[in-house]
Amino acid sequence: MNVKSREARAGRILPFEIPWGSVPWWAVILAVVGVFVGWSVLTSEAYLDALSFIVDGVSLTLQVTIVSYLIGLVVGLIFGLMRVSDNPVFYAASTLYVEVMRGVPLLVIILYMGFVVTPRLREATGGQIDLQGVPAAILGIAICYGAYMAEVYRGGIESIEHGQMEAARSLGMNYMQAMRHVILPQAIRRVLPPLGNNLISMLKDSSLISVIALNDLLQTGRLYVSRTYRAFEGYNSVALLYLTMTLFLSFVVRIVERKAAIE
Amino acid sequence: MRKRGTLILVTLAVLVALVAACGAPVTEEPTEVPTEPPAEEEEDLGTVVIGTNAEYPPFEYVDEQGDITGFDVDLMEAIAQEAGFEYEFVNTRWDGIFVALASGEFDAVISAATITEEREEMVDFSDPYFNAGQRIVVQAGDMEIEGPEDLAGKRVGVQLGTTGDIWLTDETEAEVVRYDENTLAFQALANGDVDAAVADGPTAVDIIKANPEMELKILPGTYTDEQYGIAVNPDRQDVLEAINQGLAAVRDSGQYEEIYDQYFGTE
Repeated sequence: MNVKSREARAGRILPFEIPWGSVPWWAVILAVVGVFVGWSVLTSEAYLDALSFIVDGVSLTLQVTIVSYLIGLVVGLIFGLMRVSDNPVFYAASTLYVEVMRGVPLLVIILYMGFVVTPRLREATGGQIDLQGVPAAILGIAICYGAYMAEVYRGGIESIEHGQMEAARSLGMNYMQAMRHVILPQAIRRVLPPLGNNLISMLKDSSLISVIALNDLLQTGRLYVSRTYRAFEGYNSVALLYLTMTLFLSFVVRIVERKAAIE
Repeated sequence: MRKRGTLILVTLAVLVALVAACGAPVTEEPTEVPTEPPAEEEEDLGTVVIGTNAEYPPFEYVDEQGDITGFDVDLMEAIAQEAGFEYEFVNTRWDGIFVALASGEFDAVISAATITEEREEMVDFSDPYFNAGQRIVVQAGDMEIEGPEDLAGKRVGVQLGTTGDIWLTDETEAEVVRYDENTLAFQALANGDVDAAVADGPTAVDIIKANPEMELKILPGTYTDEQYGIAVNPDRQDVLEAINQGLAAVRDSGQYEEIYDQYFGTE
């Protein structure tokens, strides 16, 4: 079986040649729709009103998403390494973590963080550690997504041929050195697309933090709707802002992937 | 002549059966409530038919024995006793309860109905008998917060988009913390995440009763107007007068307080 190039495959499926095949058509379509939507929004009093009210929620949503993503990356890497470890204690601990966190809905994890962990921790430490509000939300999302990311890392590490580890070890590296200098650099390139996926779904899942009374983007939108009884303007503005943010994040993920690719 | 008479009778019977089948919901069950013989009767009101939707505890609900009971039912009994009329309750659906009232199916409706301008166009309302407005809840040991002016600068939990949310935002200086549900706002108060919570009176009492371990208390004041009234068929001004007169007597005699404490006392 010979491997066909992208152009050749495209030519086979469609009965005609796509003109300017190198143009990213999805981006052009999006831009045209974007201009149209932007125009109708900016010329409408009601939408401007809704957007200017709701845009206040953007900063909290971005803050929570980015900070919990960074924590999740680290937590996920640690537990991912433990999942491929030969040490039975590490393996058992990380498997327990992954299975429990993936099994409990994120909404419930955030509720626990806000209504159980935070007050108990505050009592236990005499008010020294108070996670109330944004920190509780960030930790809740981070430990939940850490479990998904651990599995992503594990998949990446296991996709690297076993012979590479053996080769590295026979060159005199210990397990951690081989992991760090040989396996992980390759594995991380392979897991960039699913990690980018996690970032974007995390952005949208961050709307669940309103359950502990934080004014994120969706909560601000709901507040607008409940005040003005203008549901369309409210939720459309929310959708528009989320879409803008996810498009921006996809763009960042693409750049990172391109930078990380081996020429 | 005779034949035609029978035909008319049969037609009428069928019509009545049809109307009954269409109009009467399955849940409809007249409940005879024995009342004292009228004390000082000036005019006979007949048996006053009172509609209610007994699915809203503690105002009206069907108890384990299948009887309609609740705050509204006890209050109505007291009013009828004071005003001296006989009545029967009909349990019906909430949808269209005012249309049914206006069309004469009932003489009055007591069903935790808020007095609104919209409804007043269709039916008459008695004097208000219950204010389901917003009330403030604090931790049982809290001596600092005694009214809305003490909420300034405090974190106050409330359910997003409710009358309480609007009242807090517009009328007080509090920092409004908006939860998805009343229960979460109360839990946050018990945990000390917020300094007070605001909800409508009946809901607040229900939550506090259901969660005694939270150790919360409700402040006496009611800060928004959501008055419940007894709706009366506009053609029955006599009934309206009797109910208003009875309600005033029930309030004066202290019976109102008794019934209130029975259903809404938090102690």
